[in-house]
Amino acid sequence: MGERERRLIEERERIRQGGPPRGHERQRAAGKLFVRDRLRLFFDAVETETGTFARYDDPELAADGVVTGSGTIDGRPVFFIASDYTVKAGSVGVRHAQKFLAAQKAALRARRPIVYLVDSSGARIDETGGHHVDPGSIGEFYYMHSLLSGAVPQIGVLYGTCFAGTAYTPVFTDLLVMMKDAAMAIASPRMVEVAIGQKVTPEALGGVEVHAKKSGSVHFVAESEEEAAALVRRILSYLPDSSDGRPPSAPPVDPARDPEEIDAILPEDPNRPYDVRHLIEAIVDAESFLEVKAMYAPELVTGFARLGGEVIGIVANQPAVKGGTIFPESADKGAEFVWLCDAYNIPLLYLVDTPGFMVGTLVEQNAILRRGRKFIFATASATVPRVSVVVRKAYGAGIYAMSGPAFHPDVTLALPSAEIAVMGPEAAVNAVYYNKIQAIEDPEERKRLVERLRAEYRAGYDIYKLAGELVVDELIPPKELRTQLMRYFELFREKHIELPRRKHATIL
Amino acid sequence: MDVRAPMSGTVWKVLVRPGERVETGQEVVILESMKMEIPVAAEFAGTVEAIVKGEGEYVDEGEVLVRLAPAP
Repeated sequence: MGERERRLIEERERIRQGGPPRGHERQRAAGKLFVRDRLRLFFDAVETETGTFARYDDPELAADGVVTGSGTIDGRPVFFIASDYTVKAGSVGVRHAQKFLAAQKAALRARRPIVYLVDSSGARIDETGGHHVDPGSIGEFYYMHSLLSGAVPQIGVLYGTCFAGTAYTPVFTDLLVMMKDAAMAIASPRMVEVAIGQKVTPEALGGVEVHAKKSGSVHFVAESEEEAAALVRRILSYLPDSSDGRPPSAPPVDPARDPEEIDAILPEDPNRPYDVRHLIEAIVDAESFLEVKAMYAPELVTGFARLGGEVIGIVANQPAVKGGTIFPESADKGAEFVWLCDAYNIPLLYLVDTPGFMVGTLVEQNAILRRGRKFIFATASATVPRVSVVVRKAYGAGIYAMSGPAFHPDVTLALPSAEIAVMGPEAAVNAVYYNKIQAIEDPEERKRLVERLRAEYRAGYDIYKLAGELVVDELIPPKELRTQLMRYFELFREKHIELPRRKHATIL
Repeated sequence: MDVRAPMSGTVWKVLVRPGERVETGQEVVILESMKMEIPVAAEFAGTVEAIVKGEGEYVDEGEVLVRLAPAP
C-alpha cells in the first residue's frame, strides 16, 4: 500500500472513532451505544458511507456528528442516518444538516427505505444562527420528510432526549420505535419553564408514558438497543422498498390457534367482552402479528400480519377495551394505519365488532365527528384489496369506518354471530317508541311491551335475513374464515381502481 | 389510589365491598356503556376504602369509582 492510500485509511479510521473521550464517556454513562456499534445491530456491515470527512478541519467534530450511508437488511439495501452523540451531543451543525438532506434525497431517488437513528440534542445553535430556515439547513429536513412520506418507508428509532427541531424527525417517520428511557418534546423542560413557568421533568414532559399511551406519537417501545434494532428489521419485513413495490412474501405458516376455536372465542351474549387478539391468532400465520401502537387507544387493534405468507394490515375493534367503541383517539389511530397500509400496498382486513362511535359531551368536544370522519375517509380512499368481516356487532356509523358494504370492500363476510343495525335493540326501541312506552302506566305491562318491541327489532337485523337481502356477500362458518380470507386476498391481489380526478381530497 | 372510569357510562355492578382486599388486575366494577359491559380492574393491590359511585349512577370518563388504600 502506498503512502497516500495508507494516509486515507488512517484518517478514515480516526474519524470512525467518533467524538472525544468525554463524549464516549457521556454516552456510556447514559447506557447508550456508540453509533458505530449501534449500526452493527441493524446491518452486518455499513456498506456505503458518504460525508465521512465532513468538518475534517476540526478533529472534535468527526463526521460532523452524523453517520450517513447504507447497509443490507434481509438482503435489501436500506439507507440510514444515525446521530453520533459522542460528537457535541449529536447536535446538528451546517455539514451535519447537508449530510442528512443528501441521504434523504438519495433514498428518494433510489426508491429505498431509510432508517433514522435519532440521538441528538438539536440544532447546534452557535453554528446555525438564524440560518435554520435556509434551504439546505435543518429546516429542510421536514420538507424532505414530507416529500418522502408514502414514497419510501421512513422508520425511526429515538434513543435519547430530543427537544425542539430534531423532535420532528421522529414524528415524521412512518413507524417509530422509542427507547423506554428516551424523551421528545417541542421544547425542553428548561424552555418550558422560561416560556410558561411550568416545572417538569423530561420524562413527564415527553417520556414513553406520554407518547406511547397518551399522545399516540410512537408506535413501539423498546427495552434495549438490541430489541429496537430487531423491531426495525421486523417492521421492514412487512414493507416494500417503495410505493412502487409489494411487501415481501414469506413461506406460509399455520395459525397459532386452530380456526376451529373461533366460534368458541366469540361469546354468545353480544354485550360480553372478549379479546379480539385471540381471534387474530386463529386467523393469521403463527407469530406473524406485529401490533402497532398497542398502548394507544387499545379499543382499536391495528397491526401487520401474514396470511398464508402474504402481508396484510389488520384493523380490529377490541371488545375487551371500552367495549370496542370507537373514540376520537382510536379514529385517528385507525385512519393513520389504514393510510399507511394503502401507501405501501398492504391489503387490509377489517374485523368488525363495535357498538359504534362513542357518544356524549366529552367526545363531542374532542371532535368525534371530525376525527371519526378521518377514519371513514381513509378507508374510503384506500385502493388496496379490502375485506371486511362482520364478527359480531356492527352498530351505527362504526361499520363505515370499518369498511362496511357501502365502502366498496372487495367482499363483506359475516360470521353467524353478526348483528348489523343502526343501533342496539335497547337504544332503538327507546328512540322509536319512547312516547308509546311512557304512556303505559303499569310497569309489568310496560316491560312486556319493551320486550316484544326489542324482539321485533332484533328480528329485523337477523343475520340470515340480512344475508338473504344480500346486505353481506356471504355468511360463513367461523372455522372457514382463515381459508376464505386467503382466497379473497389472492383473488384481489392485482386489483386496480382509480380515485376521481382531483389534486387531492380536502380531508386530512 | 383510585379506580377511575375508563369511559363515560352507568355503574352496572359493583363487585367489591368496603374493607375488601383486591389484587392488581382484579375487576372491581362493571360499567354499562354503549350497551356493552365494561369491566374496570384495579391497577394496583389494596383495600377498598369507599365505593364512590353506586349501581345505577352515571359517571364521566376519569371519575373515581372506588377508592383504594394501597396494600402495605
